[in-house]
Amino acid sequence: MTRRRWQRVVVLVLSAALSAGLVACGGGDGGVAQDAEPNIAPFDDVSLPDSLLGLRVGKEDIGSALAKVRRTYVDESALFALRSEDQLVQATLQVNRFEAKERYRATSFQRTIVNQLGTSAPVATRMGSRTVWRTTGANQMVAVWFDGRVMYLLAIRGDFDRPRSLIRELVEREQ
Amino acid sequence: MTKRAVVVTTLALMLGITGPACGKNPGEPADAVRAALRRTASEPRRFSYTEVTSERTVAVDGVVEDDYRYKVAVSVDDAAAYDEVARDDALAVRFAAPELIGSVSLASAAPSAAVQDALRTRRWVTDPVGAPDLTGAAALTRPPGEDPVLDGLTLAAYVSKAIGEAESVRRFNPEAIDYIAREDRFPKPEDGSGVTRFDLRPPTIPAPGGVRAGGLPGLAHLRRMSVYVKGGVVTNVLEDIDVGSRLDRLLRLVDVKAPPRASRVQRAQLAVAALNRQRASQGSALIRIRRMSAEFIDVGRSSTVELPGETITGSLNVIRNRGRTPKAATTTTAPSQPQPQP
Repeated sequence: MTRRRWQRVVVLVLSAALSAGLVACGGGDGGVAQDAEPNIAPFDDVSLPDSLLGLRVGKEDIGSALAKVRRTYVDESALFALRSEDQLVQATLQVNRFEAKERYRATSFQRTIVNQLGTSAPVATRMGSRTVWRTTGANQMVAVWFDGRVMYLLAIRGDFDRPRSLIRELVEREQ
Repeated sequence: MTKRAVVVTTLALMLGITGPACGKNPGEPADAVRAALRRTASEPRRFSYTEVTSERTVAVDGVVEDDYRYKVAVSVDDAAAYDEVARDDALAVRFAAPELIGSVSLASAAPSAAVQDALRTRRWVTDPVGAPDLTGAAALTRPPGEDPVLDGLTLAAYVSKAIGEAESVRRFNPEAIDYIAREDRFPKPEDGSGVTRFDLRPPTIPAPGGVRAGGLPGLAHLRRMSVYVKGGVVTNVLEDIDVGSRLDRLLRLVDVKAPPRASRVQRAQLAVAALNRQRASQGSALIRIRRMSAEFIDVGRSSTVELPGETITGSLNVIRNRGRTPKAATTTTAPSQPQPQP
């Protein structure tokens, strides 16, 4: 994937977060934060293997994109791309850590967030002991799950042939 | 009429008036059943699902690890038919009765020679990307009976839908004024068993004017369903799709004159056949007379579903609602890591 196309992916994923109300536009400047430092910090405490199901896992630099938004619920965020051998992005994983408030751990809050993602009504599924919300995007399968303050948002290309195995790999890694 | 009888009748009428409205309120029986269904479906479990029609009896016995992993054994008329194991994206199938392959196959798809040979010789075939999606809309909109495995696996969603189509849901009460014992073919909960039975009341069959306007009776009108709940989880579901006491009304609606010596069963078949002709002309799904029962066992007891060891790898998209892109078959001696498609 070219750099330009990848930037579009970053923008799309952050747009999903924006639409879910995870971040908010800064005041008075067309959504650009006034501070020099980004309000949402990069989430460094996320550990993923170099490869999953044959897909190369790479952490993306989203610092400049984060600088353009001001946080509401999320204080740290990270974005990973999972690429096949031909460099095509087969999936993206966004990891958001919510602020340390108890209500952000509540199922009702999580459901509110999930309801704003995707283009179809989210369905709660059980994977192991974890609830995984499933919805769809534009030619994408979207899976969302929570672990304490951390939300995982996995968007998988519609033509990727092992989406459930990929979700399982990531969900069980976090358990 | 005695004064006491008048009071009882008046109270019964008042209850009858307020009954349907109460069914819409939170905390009512419908909500209790839905909550039990959600709880049951979210837990690992074993289940036994049976569908009886005039043509055959199909039974599915299964183990569900979670929404992405299950294994089932299917029998037809008490004879082993086929086994199926799904583990995330992978699906394995083996036919114990190869003569039944045609009954679950798509005419438009042709298996590879290796897959065909394996299925005919009662060997396992594993499709690395062939598992059905149990949570997708397609899995929940099939007509019942088309795919008994998916019917058994997605029963909670089917019952939830039936609740939405019912006039109301009521706790079983043999002393209710409108309880008709001769029409109740489902067992009553034993005293002290802790089991609560909930009955779905079908909507009234449309009046002739409604039928002329296109409002033909559907599955919901002919359904008798009871859900048994214990300890907050569903233990049993029983369903009869039949005309029951509504036979005469249905015959009038579909304008069918049954032969004078026709038995009740024959008259019911005539009525449903005529109804289905009208439904088909409207493009509506046909109604199958059937009896369904399901039992949930060991709800909450964890279990592990593994793919079979010795298997042929290939596409199972020849089977209805299964498989994706065809692949070349290769022999393996252990569950192979599925290969990504190009």
